[in-house]
Amino acid sequence: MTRAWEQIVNENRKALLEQWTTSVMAMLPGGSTSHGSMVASAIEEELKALLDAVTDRTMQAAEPIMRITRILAIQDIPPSKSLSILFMLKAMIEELPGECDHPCRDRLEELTLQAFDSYMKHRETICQIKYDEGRRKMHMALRRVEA
Amino acid sequence: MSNKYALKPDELKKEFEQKKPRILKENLAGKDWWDLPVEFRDGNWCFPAKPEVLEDLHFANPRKWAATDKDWQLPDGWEKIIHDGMKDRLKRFRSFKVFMDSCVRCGACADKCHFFLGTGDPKNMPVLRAELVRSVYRNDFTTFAKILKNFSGSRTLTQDVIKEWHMYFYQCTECRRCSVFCPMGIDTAEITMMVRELLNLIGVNNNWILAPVANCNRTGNHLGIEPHTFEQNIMSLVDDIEDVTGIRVNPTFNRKGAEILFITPSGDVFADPGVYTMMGYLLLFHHIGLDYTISTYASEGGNFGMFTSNEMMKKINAKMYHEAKRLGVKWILGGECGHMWRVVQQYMGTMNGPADFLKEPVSPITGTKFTNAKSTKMVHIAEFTADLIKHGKLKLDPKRNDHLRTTFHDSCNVARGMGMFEEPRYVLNKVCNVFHEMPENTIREQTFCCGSGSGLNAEEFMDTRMRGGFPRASAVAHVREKHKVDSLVTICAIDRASLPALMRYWNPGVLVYGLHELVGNALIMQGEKKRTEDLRENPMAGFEEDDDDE
Repeated sequence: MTRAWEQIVNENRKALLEQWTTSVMAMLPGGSTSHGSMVASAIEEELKALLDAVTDRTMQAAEPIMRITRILAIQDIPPSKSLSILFMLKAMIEELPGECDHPCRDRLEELTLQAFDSYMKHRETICQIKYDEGRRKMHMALRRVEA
Repeated sequence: MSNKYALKPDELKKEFEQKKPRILKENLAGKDWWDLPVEFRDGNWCFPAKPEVLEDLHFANPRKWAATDKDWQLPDGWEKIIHDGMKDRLKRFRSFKVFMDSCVRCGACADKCHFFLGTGDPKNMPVLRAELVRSVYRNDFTTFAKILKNFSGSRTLTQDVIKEWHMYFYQCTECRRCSVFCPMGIDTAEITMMVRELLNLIGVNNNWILAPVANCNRTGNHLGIEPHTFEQNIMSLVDDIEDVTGIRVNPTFNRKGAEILFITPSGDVFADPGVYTMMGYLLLFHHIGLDYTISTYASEGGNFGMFTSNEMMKKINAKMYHEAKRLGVKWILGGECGHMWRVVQQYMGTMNGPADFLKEPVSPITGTKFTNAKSTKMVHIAEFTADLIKHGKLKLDPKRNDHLRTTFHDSCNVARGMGMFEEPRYVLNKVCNVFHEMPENTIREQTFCCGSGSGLNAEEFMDTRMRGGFPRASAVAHVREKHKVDSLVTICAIDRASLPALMRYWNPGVLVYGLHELVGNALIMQGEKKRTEDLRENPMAGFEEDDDDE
């Protein structure tokens, strides 16, 4: 009897989350040493929420995706690597024992594209912040020029 | 559709292999911490000082270079320059020697640094950051450790070590949070100061620090504003105050015989949102009829010399006493700033004092003697205002800040550098009705840095700043979720410059205010017109134009 991949993921949730978190954490500069840091805890927290959204389509994935990409978008990690987190999960799910009635690929690809949008939005925000900061520093000079 | 400019897949792969950071390509398992490579990439280094800036300051090795260059064009004999510089400083600064010798590597500091908490990079643990220089100290200055090299963790000074110093001592904001938890009392900020001094000897530096230093050296303030523009800026704010309140305040400049010289960071005179804090000061002084003057020469409270060298800090600071003496004032009142107060509180009295030509500060309004400022003759504006409020000398309407739900960010240097926790909170609670503290381990002496202090507030460093500011932003997020806080109040000019960016990224919708901006909003001025807007010309809640019950 085949079962839905979501069910298999839920049965192996704890181990899967641990494996996924360790892999994502390895991308940070300190690797496993990063574990005591606040950014590591935040990533761990967001991965939990994201995993819930992966399997439960009634949950809004936008919020956990927005939060995890906001953390990743300013790390010393290339975008390709940052956005590979859902591909990592796909590989891990596919290795889980048990037959699935259909693959998780569609769902994870859909979420990866959402993550791409969100990541880009955060990078755009950084760009805008830089521009605005320059203007704020020159506030009075610009005011005179624009008067 | 074909694109002749697009790379072919194999070219793309080759480019990625060449450009992607080394740390992602290598297997680093089992390697020692100092074998972890240092990778300079966009967003994790500040631009070096321009050659003309170094020439202005007569600093070493002016040249065009970038941290991403393989060859940093260090001067001939740079190893000896660093060695001699370190030897000299070990002799002159007892604290440096003690801090090099006394760490027991207990790790109490490890998870206290905002840069470690925000990046997860172990070299941002204060103990390891200090170890970057201790390892060279052991090799060059302690025979026993040099012989037992591997056992003692000694290493030879190389260009890679210099690169590592540049990376990590410019990821320390000298905030001193780690020192609060160190059982040995080691102040990593002082180690950072020493290493930055050493790096400046060979021309390894940061333009965001040295350009303001050069400007300050030339015109007296960080932006290099000439006296007439400095005055024009303030008079322009006087016009704004009149528009909002109907009151024409009357600051004076370089006036001899004034009772008090007022000095504030120049960010309050030219930058947003600092200018609104300046408007608050001007309203306050008008409200109490203070006999004060502003100097266009001592036109900067900030002192980026502190992030450069002791000598430069002393030189830039000297203008405060020079100008106080020239103008014949009794004492100095200082505006809201962070590192300015560390310089004033901890160094100025002995560095450029004694200022025996000044009087022990006494408030002309309340008669309060500021005995804590007996040595420096300089009083913090938050203390001054708190005293005015305590004596009932200000007419305040805190409802005028009801459109703001506030929390307070303790600035590192004011909190840990001079122990001021209560005065700003006392003032804030008197000028607004909604105030919530952030979690206990993120305020007062345990306050988290904004992540951009000590000259790291450069645009090109934005990614790292966002990482370093993550702990502070998380604490703000906590009160935002719990109490709907939307206003972060602070008493530091660098905070006012850097926290708006941090909030916009991590907590969109939270705005940053200076304490005296809120004082200015709340002050009921004699003869004022009906107030409907705050100093930013935003509507006040319950004070709308057609609201006749006021």
